Amino acid sequence: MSSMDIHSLIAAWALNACSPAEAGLVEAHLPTCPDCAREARRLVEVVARLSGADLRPPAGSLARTRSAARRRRPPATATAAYAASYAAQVAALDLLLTDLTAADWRRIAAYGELSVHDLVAHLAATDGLIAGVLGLPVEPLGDDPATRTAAVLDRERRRNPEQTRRSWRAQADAMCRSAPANPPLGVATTALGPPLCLPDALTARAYETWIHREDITVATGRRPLPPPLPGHVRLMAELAVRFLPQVVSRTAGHVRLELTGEGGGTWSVPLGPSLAGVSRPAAVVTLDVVEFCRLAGDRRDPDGVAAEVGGDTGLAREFLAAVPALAVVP
Amino acid sequence: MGMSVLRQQRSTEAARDDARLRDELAYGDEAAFTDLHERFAPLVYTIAARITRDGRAAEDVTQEVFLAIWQRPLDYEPERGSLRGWLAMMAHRRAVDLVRREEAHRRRALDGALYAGAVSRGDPVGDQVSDSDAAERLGAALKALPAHLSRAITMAYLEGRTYREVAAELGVPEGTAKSRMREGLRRLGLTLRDQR
Repeated sequence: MSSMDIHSLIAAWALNACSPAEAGLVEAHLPTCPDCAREARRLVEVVARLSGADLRPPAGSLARTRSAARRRRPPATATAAYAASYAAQVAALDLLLTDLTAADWRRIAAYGELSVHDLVAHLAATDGLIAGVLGLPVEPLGDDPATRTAAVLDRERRRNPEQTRRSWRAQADAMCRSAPANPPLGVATTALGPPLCLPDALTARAYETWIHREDITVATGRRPLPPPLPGHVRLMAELAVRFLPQVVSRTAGHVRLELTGEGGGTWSVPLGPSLAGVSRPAAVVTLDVVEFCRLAGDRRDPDGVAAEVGGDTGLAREFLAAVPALAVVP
Repeated sequence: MGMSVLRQQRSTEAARDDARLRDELAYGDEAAFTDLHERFAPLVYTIAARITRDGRAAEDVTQEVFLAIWQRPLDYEPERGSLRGWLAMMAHRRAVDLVRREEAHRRRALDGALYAGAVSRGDPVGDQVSDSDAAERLGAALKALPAHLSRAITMAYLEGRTYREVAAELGVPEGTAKSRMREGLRRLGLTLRDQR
């Protein structure tokens, strides 16, 4: 069908008055043709106003719809504010996982050897380290991500993917429900590598859950879900930035890191033991906050990432190259 | 500057709000779902009621529209248009599908001489969506149109006819049915824009 023919169908399409096959043609055409897309947008808006909006659904309709929604897709579990980014990442990964086929679960998704099924077991294993901190019973035991992952993989490989998904989600939900409203001060765990307080540990879990969700999205060829919400990506970026001085070390000076986009911000990253007396940054690095988080999660090539550098560009490039070495996100 | 710039700004902000709401749904935010329902349930329900003329069916259609975006938030693509327009289209599509299925069912039932049982519809929505009311409501928007244009749109929108059925029923070529829908919507768009 020619593009002219498709154009003549747009009004009928907006009125749901063409065949399903024709509707499919129109919908496939729209992203490729700005003129038709503009016409479609305009006509859809006109059709949307034909009925008005003056009737109200019967009383109780929202409550009934909400409980049906919970049954079809469990929402992010209510939790303390500092754990909300983790609860959100769990809900988004679960949305992706519930859509996968048996063949998808077998695809290799990360580290060249872990299937999607293995990766979910790995997430559950590492989450378990924090579940233990929250006082939840955790089986099998293990004090670091590698040991626990080995033990959990051994168990989960004998289960089917649906059982693994359910036990991962059940543990995550229990963690959200157990997170105290006021988190304890001080170091809660060293199991993820660096010493972390409880809010940081949960942000680190949110971060890894997101990064692996993107791994699974790519491995299974699904449409990508949006990157973390601005408030959540900011927490992740902040966490990553705090560990940057440990990966690039100089005697003095600092790099100004300007992370753009919603949830971004500007940070001075010290390269040596002291910032005293140094007001001008030795280098300036500017990049998108979500891309920065992917870089720090070792999912972007430092040479390929779209970043602007200023000042001592050699230092800036060295700084960018060192970012993926961050240990906080395994 | 003037109205067009202001309108442009407003639509950019509205587009950002729509995208944000969609993203919150993707992240399983139940408060966002409640917000979505509160903002758009009257629109979705009104469309479903106009088309199905059946309270129970309209409530079912409304619920399915909201459950669908909760389960498949990526189906709504903010870069393609407003959330309002998309939800309205989904509501209309589901309502029309229901009416067409019922129509097919009724025809089968008539063939089998089972007329009496099969034609009874569920609870009527009551006088708030009687045929005359719906016609009047649409009529207000369609009044300015020449009869041949408003007829094509009414048959498609309210009665759930495809453009092929409209063409056959009116005895005009299919291309004419399509272009009447297009011209009718184009003119309605101008009228509605002036009313804004």
